Amino acid sequence: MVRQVQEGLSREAAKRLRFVPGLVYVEEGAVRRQSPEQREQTLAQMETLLQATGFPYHLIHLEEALELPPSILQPGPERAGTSGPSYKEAVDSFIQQQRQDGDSGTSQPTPSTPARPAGPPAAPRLPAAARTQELLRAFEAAATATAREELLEMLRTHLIVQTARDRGYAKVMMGESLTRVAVKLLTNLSLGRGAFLAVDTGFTDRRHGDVMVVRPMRDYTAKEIAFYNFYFSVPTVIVPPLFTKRREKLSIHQLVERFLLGLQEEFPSTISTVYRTGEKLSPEPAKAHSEFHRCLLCLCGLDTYGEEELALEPTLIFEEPAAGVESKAAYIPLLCYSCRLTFKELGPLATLPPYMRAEGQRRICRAQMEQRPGVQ
Amino acid sequence: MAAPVSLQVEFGGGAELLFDGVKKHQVTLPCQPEPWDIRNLLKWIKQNLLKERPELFLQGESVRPGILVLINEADWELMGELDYKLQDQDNVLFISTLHGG
Repeated sequence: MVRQVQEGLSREAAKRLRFVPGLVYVEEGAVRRQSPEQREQTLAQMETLLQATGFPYHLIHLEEALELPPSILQPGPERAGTSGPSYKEAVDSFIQQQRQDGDSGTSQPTPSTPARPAGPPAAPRLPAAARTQELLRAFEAAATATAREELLEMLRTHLIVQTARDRGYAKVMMGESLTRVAVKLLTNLSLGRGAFLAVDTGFTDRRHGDVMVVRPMRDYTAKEIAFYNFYFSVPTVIVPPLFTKRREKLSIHQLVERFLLGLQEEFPSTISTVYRTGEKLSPEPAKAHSEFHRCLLCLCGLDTYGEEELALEPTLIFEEPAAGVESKAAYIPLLCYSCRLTFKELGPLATLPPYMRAEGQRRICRAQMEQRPGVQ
Repeated sequence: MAAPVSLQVEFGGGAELLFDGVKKHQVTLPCQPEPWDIRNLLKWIKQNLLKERPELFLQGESVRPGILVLINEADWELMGELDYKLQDQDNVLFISTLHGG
């Protein structure tokens, strides 16, 4: 994807792209069973690669999710862009800006929190061991590989969106291929996220408000991308997969991948058919959901009204320590159907990142206050 | 009778993790009655190169779905897949497009 953006931005491009990109890499070695030395090596390789692009870049560690603000679980205010300058005006002012910069190539994103300039590589630093341990606790406490994968995806997305928000980026491009989108489609269906397929796998994902997530690579199969990378010598960095415990069953994500890829061997139109069916889905028009109608974790509109009819009751039994202590059960009304299932399979509240607990507690308290109007 | 065949066997996209992290292997396949083809090569790789967890690389006679095979930089689907007869100095590249596990 980065190579494609580079090509699109280059002077020779027929329809030259007109935006200022930055790159972000989330280093996840802690949960991929890498030793500190291996993590340093991955970081060094990644830094070399990112520097070579000439774009501003940000290397962050998954451990930084422990420091996310609770506000990440709220959509940000929509940008003034909708009532602001037209697209044509924006392009014109961009071109003028480029001319002023002497067409030097990379200009900084608008709010100039200067990203790391392309200088000599600083020695990559790993987070403190205590942070790594705290992060690992959350992942190790997960009862299933499926919940662990979902947790990883949540933390990574929140980190990336927060990074974008902090630095004034309006959009985030994710690199999911057609293959990965098709796998995600069926996986999410199996996880109970049928209501949100369009948002989870579509081209645009607007649930975070001010930061829009887009998936420009969703038209290209993994095979096409692999061949492209090979023929055009695109540098890559490989990391091991998310850790699993001994004798643990495979995650739904892994099962669906195996299933689809296996079927594809005999029926070569499988994956593209799944993808094209998914393409027909469109997100429902954005409603102004109050926080009481949005899922705490995935920010999608809650789909759990009339839950007595749904088969939710049997899944909501918890082993709770004592009443009065922060209980997992109190979080359930804040979550959509599939996040409830994931949440149930994650560890005790104390193992979850602080921002989730803080925002959850806040909403629980507000909901309680709303139910007792006389109390101030 | 097949003469010994010298090959460059390469792994990428994470497949190298199953081969001690080594991406490029120069191998010489010994003399044997049947001619060397990809099918036999895979058996040979299983016995001689694969360090762990063969089920992550092979499935039945073939490679696991999701692993691409390039013979002399061309998709093996154009070359006959498992039936392609290896020639001296061929290059066989295995690229994994799988996402873990």
